[in-house]
Amino acid sequence: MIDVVNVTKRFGKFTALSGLTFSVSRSSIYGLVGYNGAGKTTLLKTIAGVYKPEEGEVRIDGEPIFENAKMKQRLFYVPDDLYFQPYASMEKMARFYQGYYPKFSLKTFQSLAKVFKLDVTKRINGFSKGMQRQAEMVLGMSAHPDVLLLDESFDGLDPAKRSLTKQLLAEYMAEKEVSIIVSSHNLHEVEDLCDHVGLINGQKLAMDCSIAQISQSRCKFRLAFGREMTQQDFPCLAIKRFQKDGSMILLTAAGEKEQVEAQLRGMNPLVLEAMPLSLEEIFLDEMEGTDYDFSEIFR
Amino acid sequence: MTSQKSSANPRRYTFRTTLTSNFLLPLLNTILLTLLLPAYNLMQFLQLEQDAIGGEGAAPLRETYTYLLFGANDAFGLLLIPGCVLLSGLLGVMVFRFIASKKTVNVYYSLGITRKALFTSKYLAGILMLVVSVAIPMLLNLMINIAYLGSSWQLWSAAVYYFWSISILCCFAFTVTAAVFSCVGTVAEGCFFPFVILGAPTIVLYCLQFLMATLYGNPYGVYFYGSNVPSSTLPAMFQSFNPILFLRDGLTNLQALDSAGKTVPAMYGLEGTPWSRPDFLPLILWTAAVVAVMFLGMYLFRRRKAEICGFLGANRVLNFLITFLLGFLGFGLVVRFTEETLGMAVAILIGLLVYAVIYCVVDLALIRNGREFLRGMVKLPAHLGIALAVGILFATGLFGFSSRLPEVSEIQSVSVTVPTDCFIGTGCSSTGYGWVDYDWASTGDLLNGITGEEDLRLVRAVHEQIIKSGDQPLTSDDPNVAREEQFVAGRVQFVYELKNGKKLLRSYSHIPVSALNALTRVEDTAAAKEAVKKLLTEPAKEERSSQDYYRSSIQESGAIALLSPYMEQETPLELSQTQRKALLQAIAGDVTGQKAEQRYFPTQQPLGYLRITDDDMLHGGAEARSPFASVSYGYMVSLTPQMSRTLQFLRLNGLEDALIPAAGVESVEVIRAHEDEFYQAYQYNYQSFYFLGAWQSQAQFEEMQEEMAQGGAPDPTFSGAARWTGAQAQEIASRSHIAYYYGVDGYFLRAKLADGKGYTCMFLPESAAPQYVKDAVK
Repeated sequence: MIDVVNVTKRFGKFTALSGLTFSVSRSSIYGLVGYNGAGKTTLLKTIAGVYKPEEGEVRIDGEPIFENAKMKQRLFYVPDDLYFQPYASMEKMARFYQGYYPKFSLKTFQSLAKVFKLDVTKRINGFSKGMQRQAEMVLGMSAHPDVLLLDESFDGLDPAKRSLTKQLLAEYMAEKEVSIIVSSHNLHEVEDLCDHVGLINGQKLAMDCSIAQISQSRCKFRLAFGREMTQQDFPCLAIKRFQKDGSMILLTAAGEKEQVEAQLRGMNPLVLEAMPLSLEEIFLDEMEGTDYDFSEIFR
Repeated sequence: MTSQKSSANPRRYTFRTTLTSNFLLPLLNTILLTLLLPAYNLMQFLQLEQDAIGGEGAAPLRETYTYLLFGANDAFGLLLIPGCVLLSGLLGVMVFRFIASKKTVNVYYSLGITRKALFTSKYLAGILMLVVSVAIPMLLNLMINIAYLGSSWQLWSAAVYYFWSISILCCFAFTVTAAVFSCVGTVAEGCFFPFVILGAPTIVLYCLQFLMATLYGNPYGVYFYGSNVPSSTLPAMFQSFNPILFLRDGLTNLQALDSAGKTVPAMYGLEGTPWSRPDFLPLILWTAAVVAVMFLGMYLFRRRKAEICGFLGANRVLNFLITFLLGFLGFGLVVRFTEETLGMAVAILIGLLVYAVIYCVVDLALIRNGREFLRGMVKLPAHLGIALAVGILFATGLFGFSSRLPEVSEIQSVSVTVPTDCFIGTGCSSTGYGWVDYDWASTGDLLNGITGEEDLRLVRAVHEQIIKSGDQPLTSDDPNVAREEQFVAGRVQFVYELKNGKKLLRSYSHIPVSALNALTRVEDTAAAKEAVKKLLTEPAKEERSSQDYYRSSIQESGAIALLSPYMEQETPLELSQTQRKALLQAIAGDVTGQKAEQRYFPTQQPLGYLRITDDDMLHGGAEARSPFASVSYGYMVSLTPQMSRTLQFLRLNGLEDALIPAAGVESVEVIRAHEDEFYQAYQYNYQSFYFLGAWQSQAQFEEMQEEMAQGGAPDPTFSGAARWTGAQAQEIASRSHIAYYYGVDGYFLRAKLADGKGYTCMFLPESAAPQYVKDAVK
């Protein structure tokens, strides 16, 4: 169980994270999404104990993680910027991590390497970017951590290896009842892999809910009326997105799904259909206000 | 790769991997030390043994030497300290550079090891490697010595001292590097800053030494002639507090030991100093310092923010320190080397300008951000303020340092420079020049042990006169300044032993001539008279110092001759040892009864000269002579009618006839006396401003003139001189002196002696010059 409690992280005068609070339970894969520079990596490094937060703290199973050797032996952080010792092979790196992770299993290591078809005796710096990511994932999972932090770890993986990695992570999570946090820009991937998602925007956690909750609580409506309707005809709704295609209207609005649906039904539409929002649509909804008028740029 | 599960021990693993991945530099350290210590000494042993077998003067090793540990004075030996510091610092870089890379920090800081344990494990591994790298060559060194000479407690204690001190040196360099890496963001800073910090005491002390050198009377880094006062610069004085030089004395003192228990063995042909037990206290204190820096490094490592990785100039304290040290070094150097020509105020201004430039360059290099740099410029006034404050302190005499003059009641005894060595030192020599601040000049050695109240008052008055004059531009080449008002290059030193047990030292290299004239009176003190007696009558000791050699030359073997007033005639005196002793007793009695003024500023021409030299080649028939020309050492007294004891001796021993009256003078050529003329002249010179004339035979004079003319460079001496003949020439010559202290205005003259007896060069003081000379020679 990971508890991020009121964490604020500053770099000099710049505040990267401000008062972030959320939890990741056991047997859970938590997806962390946000724009570039939103603070995902900073948050992961703070959870990993690399950064010390200026305020708040990160706890794992109730114990603060920062400078806690015992707890950190149960945590593995796969950074975006991978590190391998100079001229190291996977075997050598395995020996390195074996020195720090009591539960590091060479059997798992060998098996995983075989699954990914990686030669453990070859120098890692001769590997492709994707293979290096796989190598680090292999090392990470071989350490049998209770907390696995993956920063953009799917970048550079081919579709087959992505699928394989997802399966392995899901299996690992289910088998060992561990907590995994994955940061990614690929929202479909997060949607597929994670059971929870957190969206960082403006130094804060703009959204923190389960994937199931998303489909239940947020949706878009397809409507048709017997008369001409504009956005101004829906004054009682906080409309987030309004699209008109002939007589069909597609809209999203803030608020509970049931409440919005009841209000729309009260307007006697000819057609009213509720459809679940994709994570990408939610992401864009949450990031509203940052749209550009591109036509202005080149004028 | 057979075990299935690891039982990780992060500390042990970190320690072990640090050892296995960083052993190369300690190995190089071992090789360096093996070459400098056991290999070098083995070669020495083999060479010495071969010399002893071959009968080349070296005594068999086992009889002569107890041990031989290190050739500290050899050029090779000079590599030890910089080599160890460099390799140990680089080891620190190798071990701790991981902290300056984002990639490695991400991994190491997320591993299951605390920062404290991470630092400690890596640090201890580095220390272990360094200690072993010193221990192996030292052990070999010890074994070689034991194999050749056997074991002794001195050998063991010196070997322990060497091992400990070199280990501490290495550990300190390594520890500072570790501490620096704990608080900087880049490898570049981690490589550069530790060496600047290690050199910080040296930089600061050298800067202060540079600034001290601008103080009038600065005694630091100055050799005190004729005393046992060690010539110590500030860096040398505070060597014990310097992390890279604290062991230098020990290394030198304990490098070897002979069977007589002296440190420098006779194989170097030098006298040794008694061997003393190594002083381990500084090593204990430096060990404590290493531990303290280690804890500081550990504290900084724990507090280190991972996010500073890759950012230059992340540590403001270190930034300040580095910019300050480099800026201050520039400031000190500029002030030192421009102060003399441009004056202190201008030198400080230029120094501040250089400081500002260095600050800007270093700060910009550290920050690499124009806007940040400009914002940080507010610190520059603080930097310059410190440098200016230091500059002002020195310009205003450093809290009265330059004007400090102890009261007579405070003084136990004083040593002071004598104007010349001709009467109480190591003798007059025609080649007795010395360099003083790039100017030709010198004075004698220190006269030690001046104690009486009157004598102390006399010395103090001279010192006061020098202090009051202050440091002024040299005017010795300015013909418009009277000689007595000139400021000249010379060297006057004072060593006060105070009643409170302290010592007060001052050394002046620019002095007013009036103070030099006053300084001649130092020879009227009881200590000076005692020195004259000792020189002439007390047998030399067996230990052969230059003074002892001079004494034995005068008292036992030196050739004694009487010279006529113009030196055209020389009569060797053949004396028995008893007669020599009696003569020297008589001279000692007469000279100590004389006032210094009578010797240096005589009013009458003497009856002749009595000269003792260590060279008997000049007996009779010589073509040229001066009181001291062409001799290594010479003691000469002007025989005046007041020297009753000496004249009595000559009378009693039938030598009165050897005093020959002055020859007649046919003509004289006269020029204005000027220091520059000394450099051109070959017929006369001076030692310590003591004018020494010379005589040349007619034949040699003409031959030389001809040779010079044929060589295309006619004799420039006395060119444009005023010339007198007959009675006027006779009068001028009779008022002139072969030996006279050049502390007053006057004239140089060359007298052509009558009857072809040659030429004699002399000095005519202004006060004795006839009016027609004053009118004719401007």
